[in-house]
This record gives sequence, structure tokens and C-alpha cells, in this order.
Amino acid sequence: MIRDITIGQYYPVDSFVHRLDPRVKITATAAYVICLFVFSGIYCYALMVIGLMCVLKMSRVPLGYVMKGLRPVLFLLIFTIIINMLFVSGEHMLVEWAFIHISLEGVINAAYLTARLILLIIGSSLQTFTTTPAQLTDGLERIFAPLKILRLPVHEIAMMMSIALRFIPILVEEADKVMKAQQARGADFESGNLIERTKSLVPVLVPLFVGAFRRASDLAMAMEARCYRGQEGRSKFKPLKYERRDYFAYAVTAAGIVLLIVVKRL
Amino acid sequence: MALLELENVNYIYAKNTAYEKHVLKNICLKIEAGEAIGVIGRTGSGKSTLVQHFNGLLKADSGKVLFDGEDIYQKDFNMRRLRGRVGLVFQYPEHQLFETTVFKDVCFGPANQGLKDEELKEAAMEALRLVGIDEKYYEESPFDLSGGQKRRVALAGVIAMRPEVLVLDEPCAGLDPLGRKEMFSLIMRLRRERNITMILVSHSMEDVAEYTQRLIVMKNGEIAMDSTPEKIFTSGKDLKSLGLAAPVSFEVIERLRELGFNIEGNPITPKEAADAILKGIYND
Repeated sequence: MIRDITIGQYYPVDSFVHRLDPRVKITATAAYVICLFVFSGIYCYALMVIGLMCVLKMSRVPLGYVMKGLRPVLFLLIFTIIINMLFVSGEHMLVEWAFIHISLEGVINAAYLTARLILLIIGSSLQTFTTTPAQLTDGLERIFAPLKILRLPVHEIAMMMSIALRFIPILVEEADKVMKAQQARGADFESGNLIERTKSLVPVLVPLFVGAFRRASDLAMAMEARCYRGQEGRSKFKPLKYERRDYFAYAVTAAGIVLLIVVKRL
Repeated sequence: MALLELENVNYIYAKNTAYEKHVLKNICLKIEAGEAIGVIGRTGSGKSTLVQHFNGLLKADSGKVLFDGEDIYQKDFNMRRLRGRVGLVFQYPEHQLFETTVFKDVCFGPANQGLKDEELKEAAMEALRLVGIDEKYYEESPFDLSGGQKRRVALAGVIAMRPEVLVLDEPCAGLDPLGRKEMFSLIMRLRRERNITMILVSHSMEDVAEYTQRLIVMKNGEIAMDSTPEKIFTSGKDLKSLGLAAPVSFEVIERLRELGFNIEGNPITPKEAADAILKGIYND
């Protein structure tokens, strides 16, 4: 149940997408997200869906595993659909009954928003499925390195991010363990009304927080013991270097954007 | 009829993902009331997964688990009641403390069983007394106690449910020698006073030799051996490949035999070994 949280997790298989330089993947993901918001129209969206499916196929991450990541946001999706259908007014009314007014424009709007959200989630989780947290941090650090001139602690921010990502599976596992331990003492998380259920989480959340603080202080101690002092004089075990495939991927991304612009103009 | 029975239990972790692993393979097991059983094996051999099937925390992918003859996977089976009867103490149980006072934390289990007021108080107090936590600590925060005390409070939290079977997953991990000794004398007292069935998951050969009468050796998700400690440690099988080693006292005996001493029997606890050595010396 709790292990079903797949957002932000690395999926360990070897593929073309996995081998790409993290900077390419970050850039491409960012470009994709921007495109999702800039372009509209059925053809553009079809193109973006096809593009994403191709990358997904190449990444060798099973579709079912990706879809699992959508489950936690299902509620949000349904909410979006309902709100849009009910409150977007338009000329072509489909249903007019009591206080319910559903217009064609509303339905179309809801469809777009849902597609946008789903593509957004799949696109960005594809990034984390194929990039280890360490690579991701390295990539971000390099991309944002110029901001160091503005005295922005780029390295520290990147480090914090990678630690946060690294801790997701650990905390998930810990939550699972604590839940089991409390279930062994007769705790029930599955029945009761909303208030009772929320209350039943206290025996899980308290040990989870205590554990998180304990881990954080252990980690800080371990980092200190290894003389970590930020980016000063830090070298890389695997320095990032562009390969041929990375230039190719950049080219494909650019071509995709151009294609989208062309389709949009048609 | 066995108290707890596992029939062809299979468990697969993270099915249909890259992390998939067949953790338990066709486990068949019968546990009688009153037994003291040790479960040993290497890290990752499936010990913890196995014991989590005993109270239904994990559901087998195939196979059956019977408690008192009842299938625990059948519909309408009262899992909560089962968990009260089969108490499971996890590794580092003190990490699961959460209440504001020691007393309230111990009350959590029995309150979930439906006990109220006086009955609840009695159950908690009895458990705390059994584990040797003084009354002056009852109103303190469990987070202010020492490591050994925290663990005993956590143990009390399970004992307060008055289980018939007590499953202990590495109850002494991280405790000092005195703490270990206290923990075991406490568990043994429980066994005497309440005739509890005990299942002890452990890496310590000395502990299982001393405190259990039956050993289940796990290897790669299968039961490699199921017999008395004496038979297992003297079976002559390659214990190392199973992630095991004979208890230290047994190795001492072996060494003495190599040196030409004549020692009878197969003593596996320090006390038995000492007796056997003395007997050997007098006979000479």
C-alpha cells in the first residue's frame, strides 16, 4: 500500500534514457513542461503524447509502474474535472438541470487540464525514474552554477535536494515499519470516519518524526566526520561529460519544439 | 492440533517491479502451544518476513496460515483479535513509542483490544511491573528514558495485550550484556508465569542455544533445518554456509576434544559445557 508511492523514485534498469547526461534530461523535461503550457490544440497535444510515449518506451520503465505514480493525484484530477465542467461557462450547453450547467467548452477545458496534469506528472516522474538522485543533483548544480555569481548557494541547495530525494524511500520504509508495529498492537488505519482515521495516524507520525530527526542528526554527524564543508574544494567522482548521444538528445528536443511550433501555425 | 500452522506459504516482495524478490518459498511449519522456538539464518534469509505472517501483518501470495485451526485469510476473520493473541515485538521496538507518558503508551495495545478504565489500567500496570519499570516512571515521557528502559516499556506495550504467542525479532539488538541478561530473564519469567509460546528471531547462537528447544534455520527463503539446537549444532553440516556458527561453549568442547580430552555428550550452553568438562576431568 504505502510502497505504491512511486513519484520521485529511481527505477533501476539500463536504457538509452538512463545513460543520458542528467543535464540533457533536466533541460528536456523543463522544455516539455513549458511546451505543455504554451501549446494547445488537439494536434499539439497528440504530438506531445506520442513524444512522451516514445521516451517512455525507450526508458524501459513499465507503463504500469508509471501509472501507479498517478494514483495519489487521482483525487486532484477528479476534482479538476468536476470544477471545470461545472463552472466554465460557454455558449453550447450540454446539460442544464437544476443548478448543474455543463457546457461543451467546460468539457473541453476539463479534458485539456486533465491531459496537461497527467502529462506533467508522467513527464517529470520519467525524469526521476531514469536519473539517480546523485546525478540529478550534479546536473542541477552544473546548470545553475552561473547563479553562484549572485551569491546563491547553488551547491548547498542541490545537496539539500538530493538528500531530500534520498530520504523518501527511507521514510516510506520507516513509515511502513511503524505502521506494522502499531498494527501489531491492534491499531486500525482502515476503518472509521475521517476524524478517527486522522487520529489513528498519530501513533505513526510521532515515531516517524522522531526517527526523521534522529536520522538527520546522524547524517549531519557522518558528513562532519568526513569533513564536509560545502562545495569548497570538492571534486567529483564521476564528472559530467557530454557524449554523442547527449547532443543527439538535445537535437531531438529542439526538433520537437520546432515541430510543435509548425503544427501550431498550421 | 497445532496452535499455529503454515501451509505452503509463498511471499513475493514488490511483485511485478524491478525490485521483485521471492522472499518465502513454500514454507510449511507447525508450532505447538508452549514451545520455545528460535529462528536463525543470515540477514535477508526471510526470518523477519516469516514472523510477520504469524499475525497477519503480511499476507502470503499463496498458501495458508492457520491459527487455532482457523484460516486467518478467510473473510470476516478478526485480525485484531489475532494480533492480540500473537504479540509481535519488532526490532528496536523503542522506535515505536509515541505517547506523552509511559503509562499511556503501554495502554495503546489493550485499549485497541477494547479494554476500558480499571481493566485497562490493570493490564498496563501488570505489564509494566513484569518488565520491571518502576511506578515513578509511569507519568514520564517515554522519550526521556534510557535505551534499555525504553525497550522494556515497548515490550510492555505488547505484553499488556496478554498474548499467547510472543514473537521477538532480535529483542537484544543494541543492548549491553547486562541489558541482554535482564531482557532474557524477563522473557523466561513470562514463559514460566503465563506459559507463553515464544518465537525468538536471533543472530546469537548462544542465546538460541540457551533459551530455545527448537531451531528453525532459514536459508534463501526456505527452511533449511528444523530440529533441536543440539542436533543442528552437531549435525556436522557446513554451518557457515547457512550463516551460522556453533555456540562458543560448543567450540570450546570441540577444541578440548582435539587436544585429547574425553568429553561426553553434546553440551551447547555454557552451563552444560562446564558440567561436561568437570565430569571429564574427574573421570580422568
